[in-house]
Amino acid sequence: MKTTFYKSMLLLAITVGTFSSCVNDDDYQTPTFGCVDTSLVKTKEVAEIPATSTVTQYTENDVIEAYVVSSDRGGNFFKSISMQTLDGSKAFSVPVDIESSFASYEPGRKVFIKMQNLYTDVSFGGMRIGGLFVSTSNIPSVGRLSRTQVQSSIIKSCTVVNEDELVQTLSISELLNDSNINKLVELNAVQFVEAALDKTYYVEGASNTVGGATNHLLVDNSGQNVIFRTSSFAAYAGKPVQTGSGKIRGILTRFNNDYQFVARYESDIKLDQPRLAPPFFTENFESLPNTGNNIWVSLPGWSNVSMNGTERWEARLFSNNKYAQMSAFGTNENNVDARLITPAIDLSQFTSSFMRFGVKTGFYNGVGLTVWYSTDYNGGGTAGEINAATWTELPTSIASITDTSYATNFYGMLVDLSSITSNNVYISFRYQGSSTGVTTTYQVDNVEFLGQ
Amino acid sequence: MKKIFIVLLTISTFLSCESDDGITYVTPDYLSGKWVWDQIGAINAQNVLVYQSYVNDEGCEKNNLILNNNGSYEKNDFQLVGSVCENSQQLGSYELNNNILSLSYIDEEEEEENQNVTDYFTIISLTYTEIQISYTDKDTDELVFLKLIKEEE
Repeated sequence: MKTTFYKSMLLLAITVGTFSSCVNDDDYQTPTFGCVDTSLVKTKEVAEIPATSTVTQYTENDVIEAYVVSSDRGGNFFKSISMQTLDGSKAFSVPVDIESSFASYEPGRKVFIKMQNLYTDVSFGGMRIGGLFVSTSNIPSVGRLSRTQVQSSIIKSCTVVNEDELVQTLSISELLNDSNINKLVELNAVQFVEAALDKTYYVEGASNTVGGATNHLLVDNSGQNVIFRTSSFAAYAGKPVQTGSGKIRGILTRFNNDYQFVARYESDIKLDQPRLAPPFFTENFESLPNTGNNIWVSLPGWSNVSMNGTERWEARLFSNNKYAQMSAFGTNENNVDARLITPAIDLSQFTSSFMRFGVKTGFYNGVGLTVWYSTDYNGGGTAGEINAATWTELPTSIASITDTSYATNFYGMLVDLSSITSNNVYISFRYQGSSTGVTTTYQVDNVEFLGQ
Repeated sequence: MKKIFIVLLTISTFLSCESDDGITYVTPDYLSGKWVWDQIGAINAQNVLVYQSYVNDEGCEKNNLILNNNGSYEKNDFQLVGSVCENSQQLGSYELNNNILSLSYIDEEEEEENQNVTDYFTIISLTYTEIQISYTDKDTDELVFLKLIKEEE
């Protein structure tokens, strides 16, 4: 009888122990059972919360609603939680003096923030909501909320959405904007640059390791790149960089002028496709035999034509680098129109294609360079043949380059050619100016075509 | 069998789920006392907090805030009115919630339904002898910083 009693007690103890043991729930996607929801309702949109470079206190008794997108589960984020609105229109970070904040504030979790007596500012382009911190050098800013402040101001709801509802798929060039800081973004068709391929995500002591984290570069098939930053504390810090191309999910951050894309865990990195193709056409002008004033660019397949006079694109050399240069200065021509046209480019087999090139200006006094394309030019290299063809201007950001003295490096220009699917595409660098008008000097180098 | 049962009980007792949230302990009462205005600060155009000595109207005692350990407070604001220093005194109750010090009082100059007023001060640093607080000036909407020194009784 006694034995039976103890046996059943033992069984009971084991049963109770099994079902009531401490739960360390790693499956954060599922809603929490027994969650008691808050009665808070939002009274303001995130967009209505002011934030400037100077820290300010929010004094009204308002509540905003946001969704967690970052996670410190993988060790890459530390004491900062990125949040965004459900529609992804606004995002901000909340500095917190909590480690393992993912246990309460995991990606997809909807939270309510009681704004009264919290502080806001904008740091490196990103909005922050938190406490007030005054540094030893008397710089006031938004600082970390203590655990108890977090508990009383950052109220979690019982709603957890699938993060696929929060993520936005962007290209690298679309990504690089302050408005995307702290948002969950997926980059598609990206890869690590070759310099990163034989490395680990975090490289102790490397020149690109700054502040306890390594900055590798991600590129896409337009040649755009963004820093991919991995902390020494990341769980995957010591793993080799994935060598393929594909998708990477993460949060955009900024430090000084550098945008930094930060993944949360290794599973955010899905480079399971073959590497992107290198440029299929490149011209760096280094094969030009002679350079100097009135020595015209002459390359196989290229056209270099003065439409109304004699001044054309010159072959030039500076600091061991050759490039094409054009200016109306001192030409005594009042209607300069010089075309430097590529050989025929075949874009018929690509769904997305880009041209990139470098540009510098000197003695700037107005925009003189535009880029055009034709699919019916015959490559003949005379003004008559060029005039007989149909030319369409391509949008570029050349007009934003207005240096009066030459920059140290060429500005990278990118032209999306994806909508052009001909196998006979000519790209024309068209200089228009006048010795009595626009005489800006333009230098063009490293013309490259990429397709995927 | 009994031993096993006791062992199981003992283990389950000591391995039970821990929660740090319930810990309470006595904190030293840094707050109560008479705090005297010492420095006033503001954020300048270079985004730096600059303090300067607090100077009250000529001949007037410095402003002070007396926080009693029973939760009541007394705020004394001395101003020169004509040739006389007058004290516009505020009496009420205070509360500390995390690092937010709230002073609640009845403002009889307001409409009846708005007479219950609470002013919030963020405590930036606090020692036995000095407190650094900040609040938003209702007129300018800018942050004001104060350093107060505890006056020995």
